[in-house]
Amino acid sequence: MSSERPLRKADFVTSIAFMLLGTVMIVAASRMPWIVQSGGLQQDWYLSPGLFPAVLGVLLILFSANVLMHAVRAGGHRGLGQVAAQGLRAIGSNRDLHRMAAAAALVGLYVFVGIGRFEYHVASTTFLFVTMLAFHRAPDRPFTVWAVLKIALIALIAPAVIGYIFTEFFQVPMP
Amino acid sequence: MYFIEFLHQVVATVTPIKMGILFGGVMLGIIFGALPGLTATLAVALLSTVTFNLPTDVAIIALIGAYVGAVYGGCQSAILIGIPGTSAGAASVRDGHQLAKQGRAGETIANATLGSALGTIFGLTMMLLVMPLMVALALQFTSIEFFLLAVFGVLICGSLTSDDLPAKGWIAGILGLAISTVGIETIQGYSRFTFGVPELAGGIEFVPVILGAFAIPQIIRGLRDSDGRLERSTLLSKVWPDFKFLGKCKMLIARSGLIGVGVGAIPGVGEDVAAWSAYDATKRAAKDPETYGRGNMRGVVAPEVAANACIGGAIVPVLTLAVPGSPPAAMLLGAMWLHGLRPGPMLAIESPEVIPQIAAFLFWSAIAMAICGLAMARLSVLVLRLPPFIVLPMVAMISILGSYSLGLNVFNVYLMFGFGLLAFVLEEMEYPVAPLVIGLILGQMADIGLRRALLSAHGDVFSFFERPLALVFMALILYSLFGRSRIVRQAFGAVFGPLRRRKASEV
Repeated sequence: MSSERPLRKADFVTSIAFMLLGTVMIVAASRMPWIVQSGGLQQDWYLSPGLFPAVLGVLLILFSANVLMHAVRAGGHRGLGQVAAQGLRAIGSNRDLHRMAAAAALVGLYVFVGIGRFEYHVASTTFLFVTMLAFHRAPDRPFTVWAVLKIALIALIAPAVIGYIFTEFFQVPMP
Repeated sequence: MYFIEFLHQVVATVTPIKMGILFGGVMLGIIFGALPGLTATLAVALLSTVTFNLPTDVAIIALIGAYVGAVYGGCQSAILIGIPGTSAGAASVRDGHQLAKQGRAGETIANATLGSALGTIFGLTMMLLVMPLMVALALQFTSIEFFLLAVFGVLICGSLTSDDLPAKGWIAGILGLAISTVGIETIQGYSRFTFGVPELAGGIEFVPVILGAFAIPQIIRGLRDSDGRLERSTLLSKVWPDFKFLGKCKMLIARSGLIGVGVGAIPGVGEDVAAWSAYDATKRAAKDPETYGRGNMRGVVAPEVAANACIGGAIVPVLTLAVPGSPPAAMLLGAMWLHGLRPGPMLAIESPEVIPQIAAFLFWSAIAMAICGLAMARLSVLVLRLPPFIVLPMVAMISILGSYSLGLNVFNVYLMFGFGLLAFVLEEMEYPVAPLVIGLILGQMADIGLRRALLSAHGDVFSFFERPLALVFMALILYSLFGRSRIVRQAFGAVFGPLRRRKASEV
């Protein structure tokens, strides 16, 4: 979780992004049919498919303005460029960011490359083995041959058992 | 009204298949609840995808079992390692882990287990008592009340779940409502925000979205933090409840149960709020408040009773108004829709057996949870030794397969991942995810309700002010928007302050 000052800087940016999204929603809603002739009857504005998105767009802008106001009051708009530059410079040494990016990338690879393109057991075993191996390192976990073998065994057995339960008990074929 | 049918359903539920599925669901729920990072919503979401092909009553019994088990399971890790498995278990850490350190882990888990079972039964009893009134009230609802109820649900959920600014919760809710507008709308058949993608024409499936919103952030965060040392769980001695102590806690159980049911009925506010509210109320009412946080058994029983009583409270608006009382209840509502049930005011008329049936499932879930909770306490010690780098990739795999199994559609997997990343980014910026989920569920109700209400009023917005129920909801909406504002509090203080001071001087 972010601490107070950086959080307000983030709020400054996200609230502007949400205000833009609200504006986009209002513009998109205004392009939807508002008065339509259907079956000889004129349908009024209140039946328009754009009404609800337009209301949501207005509310999004109002609520985001509230967040923006708080962010500005707390000085969230000051020194944004400097903070962004510092953040960019720290990317190489930010261990938490590396671990988060690695986790998201591995799950993303399994979703977009593994599932549906490779055989289920191959994709799942590879995903489990690589992810478990990548996140194995910790102060109280020595990296031994036995540890790698254990991970390989789990990665091999787990997809087989889960696949069997899905197909046999829940009647769900594997991708 | 429902009690006779409830008793009938209690007997009818006792079949080998249903009992087997129920115990399986409860055990899965307890494991999910006990493992830090895995939530009750995730347990219900995962199970709703894999039970898609099962008969409706069998699927619902599994989901309710998992729901009850997972809400309870959080207390096991809270007591054993001092880390709550779910947010509902967080209130039990303070005294539960202190008691475990004093060598009373077995007794604490057993008392918490029995407290949770009593809480579930209290919740279902209140549910049966309140349900006829709620059904009668819900039948008075017209389109405008449904629209206002949906808006109120999103706003109050946003206000109560946002740790930072309430506006952040409201924004998350509006995003959920906006996501629900994707697809061909039902009044004019107009395609909204589909960008020419045929898979979006039918709208966004909410099960993969909920699964992604609750699984992906936990997986990413859990793997990020998995290089720390593992907390070693306390060893257990005798796992048996202190019936004499629980007998003395009748008032505490009734008070916590009422808090749980009340909090549960508020849209989108979950078991964690119920547990903390009950803990706070118990501490305030205690003669020895200084012992709380140092290992007071009442500080474990109160939140556990409230968290599980919350389930009954959260199911009341699900069945009568199709408005979820908590995120796991939102998932339960989604699963009911998947199975062709139509919760709402007409449910009691169209399918009168469903309400007592669900109460009976809750009753057996409470019994199964008490048995499994006591029997699995030693297993929990082993499960809690599993490192996150083994558990979380498997959860990722099961979540992805679960999303795929819903309609055997790879697009759902992409949706799950995309919304999971969005939820992660929002949570990092302290935007709560629960209002987004509630907004997604209530979106269609709000959209159709607004347009139908305007149609029946020929576009005259002022006619809404003539309906007393609509006025009540408008007042509630204004309260959720401005209740925390300094100006409103000052105005209230100016009006009621002198009155309160006069009363105090009279005393």
